[in-house]
Amino acid sequence: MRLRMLVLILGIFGFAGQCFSENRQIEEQLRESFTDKLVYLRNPYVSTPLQFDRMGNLLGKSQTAPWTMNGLILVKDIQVRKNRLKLDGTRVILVLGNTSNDQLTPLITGKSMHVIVEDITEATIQQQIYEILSRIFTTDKVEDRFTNYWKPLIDLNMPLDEIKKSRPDGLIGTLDGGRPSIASCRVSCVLPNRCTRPIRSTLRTHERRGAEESHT
Amino acid sequence: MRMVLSEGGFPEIVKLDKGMNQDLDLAALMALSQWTFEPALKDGVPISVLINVEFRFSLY
Repeated sequence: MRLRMLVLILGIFGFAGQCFSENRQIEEQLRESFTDKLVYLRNPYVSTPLQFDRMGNLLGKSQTAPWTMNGLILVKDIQVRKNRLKLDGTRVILVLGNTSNDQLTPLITGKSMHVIVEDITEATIQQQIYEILSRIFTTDKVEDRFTNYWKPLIDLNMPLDEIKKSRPDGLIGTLDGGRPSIASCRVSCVLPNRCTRPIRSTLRTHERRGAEESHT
Repeated sequence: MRMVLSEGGFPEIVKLDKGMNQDLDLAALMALSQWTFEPALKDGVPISVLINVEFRFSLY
């Protein structure tokens, strides 16, 4: 009887050890694939943490916002524990530089982002985990995605007055899905936006000290 | 800065117009990325627009 119990206990420990070892192995491979790499959410949700089921469906609710400001994440770490995969990262925004060629620059915001995928069972093999992640993220080239996302009809470096002259219809480009974007110059028909959420300066005291009063 | 706002009033395309200092530019961009606006309207319908945004930094 004691011998049977001993065998059973050893069996349980052995199975748990094997699962733990498999998890660690998957974790290491995922880290190798994703750490310090840019991924972007298929749906650019604003909230953090974001929880998904294994089908890639969001659990709970979150507002979505433009992909360029909310879709990108620089992956810092991935953990696989029990039935849960946790991805820690930092939000990245895309900015066009002030040079004539409008170079696209990913900018790390320092804003933490956590993505949790529930129901990753111990039996889930590595390939299945990659499939689950591909339902939530894509790793396509950012530049290619951006080129398809924003199609300008004008040079954004032009002064606003010149834009008005060159585009009497006000159309300055199209966004993802062919959505038109116009210059806010025809005040008679366009009500200018009012900022609804101003934000305090994020500069620290020593950074302020070095700054001169100026406009950016 | 120059930016294209979405129909929902979120910054969508952001362009650094006249940068001053890397740290200040970064601070401005961080702030800008979190702003939301009331949507611009054309004939009563929300529309994406290009606007200029000016940041002023003060010495303390």
